[in-house]
Amino acid sequence: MISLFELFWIFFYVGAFTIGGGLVAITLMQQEILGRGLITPERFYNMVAISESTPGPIGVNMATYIGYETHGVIGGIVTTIGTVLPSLIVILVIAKFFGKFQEKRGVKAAFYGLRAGTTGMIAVAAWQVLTIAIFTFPEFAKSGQWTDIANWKCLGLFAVTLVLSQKLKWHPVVFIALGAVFGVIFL
Amino acid sequence: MTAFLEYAELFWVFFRIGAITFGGGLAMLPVLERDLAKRRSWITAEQLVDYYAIGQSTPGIIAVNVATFVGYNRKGVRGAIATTVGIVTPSIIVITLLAMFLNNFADIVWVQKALRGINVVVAVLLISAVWSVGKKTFIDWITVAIGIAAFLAMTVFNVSGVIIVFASALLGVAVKYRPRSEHD
Repeated sequence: MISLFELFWIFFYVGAFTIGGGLVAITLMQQEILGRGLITPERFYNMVAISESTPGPIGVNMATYIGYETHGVIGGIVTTIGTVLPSLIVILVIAKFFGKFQEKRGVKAAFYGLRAGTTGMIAVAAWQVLTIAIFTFPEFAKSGQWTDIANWKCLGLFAVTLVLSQKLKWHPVVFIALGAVFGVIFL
Repeated sequence: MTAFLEYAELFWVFFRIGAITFGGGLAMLPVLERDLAKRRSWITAEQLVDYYAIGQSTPGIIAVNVATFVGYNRKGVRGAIATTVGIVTPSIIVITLLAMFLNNFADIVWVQKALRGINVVVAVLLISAVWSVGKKTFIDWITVAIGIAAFLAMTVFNVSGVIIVFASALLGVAVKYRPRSEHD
């Protein structure tokens, strides 16, 4: 059995070396947790599936889950703190100085390009969710029939939601809830 | 007392964001834009994009990084702690309950169906968010070109986000510092 202290440091390490998002965190956890044989691979991938299907950042969900499995409720809290602490420290340091440098000409120039690049990356995320949620390219590749290229019910939901979200200024959570209801009934 | 209420509000806003977003940091963008930029004007849409850029290229989970940044800018270190604790608390509650009572949560058929519906909505929300942020970040043809290049680099060539962050920052500097305007 691994000690709580050691577990904390494993997740601190994961938090400190996760650069670029949740998937990187999962890869690091895989190396550290499966490498030490703390959890069976089957259990681990089951946890990944649950972490992806529940609200909240995937990396935080995974940390809580693994902590709970090994040390109960306290374990879940300790691993979450471990994962989040490096972010907290690094961002506090950056935020402290960022305000001072924000108005410098060089920093402004860098952010002129950076904002555009980041918008492009956010578009990638939108594109990825879109292809997973609506298009069924693998099935199309298999059958070669155009009717298999998309899930038409999902495409319908997409179109209706797109129009409604432009017309009605509802909070995103309302649309998320409606999407869930639609899925349970029709998909 | 009012100070306490301000921390409580920071905690609560990020608690809600943690509780309703599926699919990680980027999926939070539409909610953050609405709750923080439009509704409360705590930050501008441009600042939000800046925080994402910084979150992408620094250690840690992006959603947490953005939360910490906003909290610090509102109320210093204590504000940062309030927002960070706020964003992770729903995860701790939900996952602990599921681990206790529902180990096969992800295998339940209606959960999978609900998630498929949620994914479609998240796609819509993200596209609208890209649209509204893009109106502010794509200000001339150079920024449009950088955005398209970043999109293609990631989707076609699998370039990592950190590299894109640094490359687009360098491009920004290169464009703004043309040789003659160097001395001022």
